[in-house]
Amino acid sequence: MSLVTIAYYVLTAFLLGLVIWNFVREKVSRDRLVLYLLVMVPLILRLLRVK
Amino acid sequence: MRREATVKASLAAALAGLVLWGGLPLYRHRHFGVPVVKGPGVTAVLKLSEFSKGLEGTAADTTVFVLQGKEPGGRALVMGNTHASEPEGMLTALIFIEHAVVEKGTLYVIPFFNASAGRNTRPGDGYPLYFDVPTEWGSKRFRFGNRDASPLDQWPDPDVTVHYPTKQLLSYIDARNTNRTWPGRPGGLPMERVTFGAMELIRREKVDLAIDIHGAETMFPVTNCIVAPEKSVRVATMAALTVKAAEGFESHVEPSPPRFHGLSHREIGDHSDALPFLLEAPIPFLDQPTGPKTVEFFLDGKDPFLLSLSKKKKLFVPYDETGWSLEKRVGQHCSTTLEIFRQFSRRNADRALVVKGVPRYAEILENGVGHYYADPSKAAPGTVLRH
Amino acid sequence: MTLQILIILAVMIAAYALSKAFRLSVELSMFAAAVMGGIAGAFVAATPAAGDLARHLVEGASTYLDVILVFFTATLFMTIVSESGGVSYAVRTALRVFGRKRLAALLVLMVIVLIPGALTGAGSVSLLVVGAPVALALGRLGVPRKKVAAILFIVAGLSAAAPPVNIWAMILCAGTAIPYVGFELTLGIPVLLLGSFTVLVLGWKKDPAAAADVPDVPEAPAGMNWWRVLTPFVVFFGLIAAYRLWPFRAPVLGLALPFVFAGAAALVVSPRKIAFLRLSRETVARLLPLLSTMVVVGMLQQIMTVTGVRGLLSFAVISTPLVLLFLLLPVIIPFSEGVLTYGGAAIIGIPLIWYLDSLGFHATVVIAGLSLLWPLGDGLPPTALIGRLSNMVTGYTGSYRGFLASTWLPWLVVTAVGMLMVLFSSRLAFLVRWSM
Repeated sequence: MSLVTIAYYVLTAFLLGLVIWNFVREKVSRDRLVLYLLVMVPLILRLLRVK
Repeated sequence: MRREATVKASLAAALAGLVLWGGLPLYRHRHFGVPVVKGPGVTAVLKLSEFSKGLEGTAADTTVFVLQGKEPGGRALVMGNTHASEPEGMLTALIFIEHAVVEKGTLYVIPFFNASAGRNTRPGDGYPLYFDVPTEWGSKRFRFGNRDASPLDQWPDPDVTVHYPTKQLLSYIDARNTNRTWPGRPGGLPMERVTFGAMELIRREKVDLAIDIHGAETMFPVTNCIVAPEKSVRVATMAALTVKAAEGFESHVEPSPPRFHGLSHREIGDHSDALPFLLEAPIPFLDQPTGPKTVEFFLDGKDPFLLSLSKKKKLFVPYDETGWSLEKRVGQHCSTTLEIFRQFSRRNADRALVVKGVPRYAEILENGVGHYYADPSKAAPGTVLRH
Repeated sequence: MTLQILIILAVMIAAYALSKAFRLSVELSMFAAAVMGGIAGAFVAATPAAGDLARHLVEGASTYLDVILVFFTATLFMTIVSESGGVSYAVRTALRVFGRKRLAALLVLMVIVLIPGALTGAGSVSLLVVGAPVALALGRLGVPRKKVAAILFIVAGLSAAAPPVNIWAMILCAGTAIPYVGFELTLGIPVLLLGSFTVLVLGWKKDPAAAADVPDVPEAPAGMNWWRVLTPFVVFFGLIAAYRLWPFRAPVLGLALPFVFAGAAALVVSPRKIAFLRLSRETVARLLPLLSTMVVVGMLQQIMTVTGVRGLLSFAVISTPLVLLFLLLPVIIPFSEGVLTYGGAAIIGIPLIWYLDSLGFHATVVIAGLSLLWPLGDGLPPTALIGRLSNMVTGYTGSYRGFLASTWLPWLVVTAVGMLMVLFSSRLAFLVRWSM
């Protein structure tokens, strides 16, 4: 795996981390909670090297 | 506070459920091995990385089946699954591997040319993960792949693909399309290494004919044809005329555009002595204006929307209630490939290639494609590979 | 088969409408439509198989992962530039230098909006990164808020169509096997002309009352200068240019990583200390509607394909007689974008391009012409991605319909230019030749 590819996995993990953080901190809206979860789907699948 | 935590925990559990339920089939698809039974004509099995070191140990490396004849003669390379969403090429290549007996010359067959694309699925297009071809012993299961390599094997895409060596600009996605990365380079992106490996095989083994088998939409202007550059046109024309006259199916000749780079039918000819050919047969399943993308539709090629469009003369191939079945598509490819060998051999007696045992169009129409695949569970030990 | 597909389509529309009636967001309503469409498909036609529904949803969710990463990194980069005072500095300088030359001021502001979208292929990035200060600057020039929102919407849409990165054209080229070349002038010239037209038509008339209640563009922090503003952009353009100049020696960085490097450069040269993690979290929170739209559109596209709904819509477009098709395209194209975002280009665009190509139209010019029409749809519900964002960054809170109505003249002119490019594509082929 090239350095650039590794950087992309790190970037994906960073974004996933931020999304999880915001999900945990979200207080206002259940709508937003679901949306955070939906955004996590492609990020998790890529990090697990499924898709 | 506790309620909020419960809501979040249940939502997170739902997400985990969705990812597991939906992700597992995708994971299994990527790791599913298609059994390939070596026929009596296979004399050696190589890896493409032997011609392109950069592929070693990667998911882009693929198997090359060698069928060497008793007598020396011409040499040909047959490739399937350059686009793994057009699996007719792979199915044709497997028939050659199981049945071809080369009497004169040598045949190199790469059934899963873009191995990574074969383990990739096409997001947004809702294709089935597998298709089962009926056989006398049950059915043989194949992965349904994607046109492009998996981003798990080549990531990221460039913002725009720059073709080597011409610097022509192509879409970003074409960096993962092994029919845009010819002639490739040894240290390039993984898909450039794949095409470089094939170029090296062609150059080192002095291959005379390179046949890249595809399929195309019925609404795509370049379909049901042999695409050939200037140097291959004569052989292609004779093959097209012969199959039409003798076997009753159409496969006209399309010239390879000289300024559109990265395609096998352009670059193989420009960067080696081989004559390249790209075969296209119509796959209605790939068209946009169709009903649901089911396995049945993939196999029989029947669709009411396409039928209606055909009556309005909006398709580039004749299309009626009989659809365009897998048998027809694979049959055409087998016959056209054999005919290209024959026409070349007629003109080049010293480089003749004589291949026996491969069924032609009418036989495949009659017996079905699955008839030509042996039961891997009953095959002799050591003759089955999983790819 | 048609009846079954129509039932599935009706279920999807009903699910969407019901979700909206229960005041769910657009994104969740689309998600509901996708899930219900999938379930209806499983019951009505057994496609998808019920057990395969989750696979289709998560597979569809992955369609635009790279676009999501570009949106995130590009926005984070520009937010850092903005937080460091760079955008205020640039806009204030533009106002100071050109403040008395209205024509020049408007045109410079228009170009500032064009740049981020042209680079990323996303008008939303333009709005998220330069939208707010440009809106303030236009307000200071006496342009009423509704018209500011209208200008930003049209110009941000044009920025997405502008070269070098035009996602619609890229999708169409990849799907039709046409090389993604020859678009620089074919798209660049109309985008610049239409952008100028829009900003002048909507922004030329000065309303002193409008300027009065607009706060001044924020003061740039002490120590901010052109060197600090430009360095991150030099890093970004440098990395992009390096790959173009030495494509076989430079590593392939994609689009997201150059934004990461540029963001790092912006952090280093910022005269203000920037709380990077807080800013990153806020960026994700602000981008949530956009990111989730990209995920849900992928799911919707996948479910529509597997159930045959997408095929039926595509079939309806292709089987329309040519003259009627040309009359309908100005409506169909934006609406497909409004419903499916980039998915519209794949569903309708690909067969349309093949069809027109076979009739002798010049495919590259046709793609360029159509890609001027698609961004208009980003103002239309249900997604209304760019429309909603342009309202948000402008602080316009009036009726959405009123905002859309105020775009009518540039909307019509953009449509006319796009359609003329399609109709006279062969005669405009010289633009493609000059671009190469």
